[in-house]
Amino acid sequence: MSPLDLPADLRSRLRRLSLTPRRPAMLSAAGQHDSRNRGGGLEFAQYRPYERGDDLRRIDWKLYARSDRFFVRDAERESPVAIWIVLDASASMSQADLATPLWSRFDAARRLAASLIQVALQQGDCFGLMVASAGAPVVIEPGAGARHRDRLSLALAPLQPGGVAHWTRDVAVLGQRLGPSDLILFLSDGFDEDCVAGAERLAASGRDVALIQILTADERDFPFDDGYRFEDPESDGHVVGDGRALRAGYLARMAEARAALVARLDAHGVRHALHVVDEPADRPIQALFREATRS
Amino acid sequence: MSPALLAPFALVALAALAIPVVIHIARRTQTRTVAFAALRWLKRDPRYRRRLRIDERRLLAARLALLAAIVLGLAQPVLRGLADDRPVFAVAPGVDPARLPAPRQDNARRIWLAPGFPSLDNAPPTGGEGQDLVSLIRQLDADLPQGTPLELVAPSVLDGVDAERPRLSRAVAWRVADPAPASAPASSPPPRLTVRYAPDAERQARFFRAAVSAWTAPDLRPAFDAASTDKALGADPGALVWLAAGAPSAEVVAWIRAGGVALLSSDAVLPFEGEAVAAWRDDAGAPLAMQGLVGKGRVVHLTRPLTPSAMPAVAQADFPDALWRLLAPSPQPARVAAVDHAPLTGGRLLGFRPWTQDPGWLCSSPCCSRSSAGSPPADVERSRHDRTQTLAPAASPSASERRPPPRGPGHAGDRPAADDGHCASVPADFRSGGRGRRRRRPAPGDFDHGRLADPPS
Repeated sequence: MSPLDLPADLRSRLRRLSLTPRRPAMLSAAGQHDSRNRGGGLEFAQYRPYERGDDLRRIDWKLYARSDRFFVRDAERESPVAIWIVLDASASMSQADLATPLWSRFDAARRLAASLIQVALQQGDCFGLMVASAGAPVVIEPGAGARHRDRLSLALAPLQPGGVAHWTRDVAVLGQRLGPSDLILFLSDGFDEDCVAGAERLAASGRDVALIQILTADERDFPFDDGYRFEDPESDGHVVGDGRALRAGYLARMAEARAALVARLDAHGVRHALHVVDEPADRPIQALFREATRS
Repeated sequence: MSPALLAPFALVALAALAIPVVIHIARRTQTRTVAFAALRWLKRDPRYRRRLRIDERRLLAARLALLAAIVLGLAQPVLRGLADDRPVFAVAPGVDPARLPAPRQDNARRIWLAPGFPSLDNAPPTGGEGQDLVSLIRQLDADLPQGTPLELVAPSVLDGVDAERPRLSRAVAWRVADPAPASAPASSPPPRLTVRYAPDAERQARFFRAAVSAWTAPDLRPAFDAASTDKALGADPGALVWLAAGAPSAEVVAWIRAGGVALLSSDAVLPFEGEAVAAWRDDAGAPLAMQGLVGKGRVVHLTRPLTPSAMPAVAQADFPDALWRLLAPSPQPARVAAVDHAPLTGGRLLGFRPWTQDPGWLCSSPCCSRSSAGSPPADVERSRHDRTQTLAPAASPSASERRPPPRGPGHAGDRPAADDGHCASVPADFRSGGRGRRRRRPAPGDFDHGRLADPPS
């Protein structure tokens, strides 16, 4: 089960969703988002045969001279809103549940990324990708269209989480490329302090930032009934203990930490949602953009 | 009846029960490792004291039970008092119950010396005459616990006994019920002879006529019937002499197969069934007659023509005796006055307990050492000798012809001096076979004393 192949039911539910920036539209236009472009194309997209009604100025006369047929230059209209998907590829993302060892947190994150790309594709937005990992960050500039989606899928498919992500460096790299009204979506477990701090810093600079925290079902339920040695994949810390004895304390502290994170993100204006790996991928998207959809 | 352990020190091995317990506990602490990124919220509760938990309890129980069973087996559990150790008063079946002597102990268990050892209150067991009384005595001695007094009442004359007095593990009170001396066994009458001859062999019948005449008392008519082969056999022909070439008639063969005794001339053809042995030898040792079985009958087949030139023995004076021995061999001397056949003591303790023969690395208890010391090598050696003596009379009657005839039972007392002479017929491997496994740990000084030691009678 590849995380990039979206099931049909998920695909149909995604069709009803949309990604909306928090800020109200500054300019009104026919598109879903505001556009600062005044027609015409800046970037060549394709030739297409001339049809009645097309602007004569858009006919490529040089091509007419070569081929004796009318072709119209189609330009890609740039959307002012780009959706950046920031994917955490640190070692903690590779954690999987005991019950489903083949479906890791990173798989869920990739499926969520594919779903977001799908929604962005539906509404004609540009979408870009940045993968924060231990090595050099993978950055794919925003683009639109199915071909760009395939490019992102190609970049996502071979990724393997590992190491400790350099969030400070990667957020700085990202910040250089952001447009003023871009929507930045962090897909992370939220356990890394630098990740949350980076999101807060971006939000403080006026960007529209959202964080989808991805937890495994084991982290939510703590179903360990036996003695285990719990190891942190990103450090050499470990705790050896009996699951039943640890459960109550863990759940309480986890809920506390989760509430603290929510409060902190709310305080900094970072939208947030919770995604657990055994839930469908459209639920956090719906939760995240619900109020925007309603309005 | 109380349970006890012969080697209680083996219970020290119960300490091995800790091994599976330790294994189960140790394997439990080998917990699985899981990656858990939310480790910072996972803190061990200091109030929680780790309890000792054991997984796979049924497997642990099975392992403990197996170990405990092994240890208990090493400790040699016994049930004391299971056997009835009252004195035993055993009476041979031939004794008249009305003329029984009183048992020496009042609380004695009174039984018949019969298979199953029924109580003396029952009727005397029938058909007990054919039983081997000595074998029953040995069985009773082996069955009884060590030290149980045994009192045996035997009839005045014992039949079918071995050439040696039985040797038991305990001293028995041997009492003869009817002290009247037994009558001498009646001498058997000479066999009646029926001769059938072919026409050309009619002259040979005269040897047998002469032999029968020699057997018969002067005033009696010889029991002799000589006729041609075409005359049928009488109703009770006695022993048959067949003097004709070729196969005997079907009637004769059927009679032999039914149990008859026949002497065939050398040109007669009747193959033996099974092994044939020489039954009669001349002075030089050459076989004159072979003997074998045909059906249930016994056939003596002459090896030479019945002429004085080919077989000078027929013309000699002892031919009637030789013929009598051939046709009606005298029984083995197996009858003895019970007074002279009292069992000897010093036989091996026949209580068969193989586990006490183990090397005593765990047998540190005095019980065990006593039981291993209770069978000195002399007993083992002697009991093996007993076996060879016992086997000898059971061999085929023909084998006794080659052997020195068994001497009287009274001879057995001075046996150790004649030890080598008796064992000469025993194969060498039989004599030396048991010596290697006789004793695993030979004590210093008892090397091979068994064969030379005097019996402790």
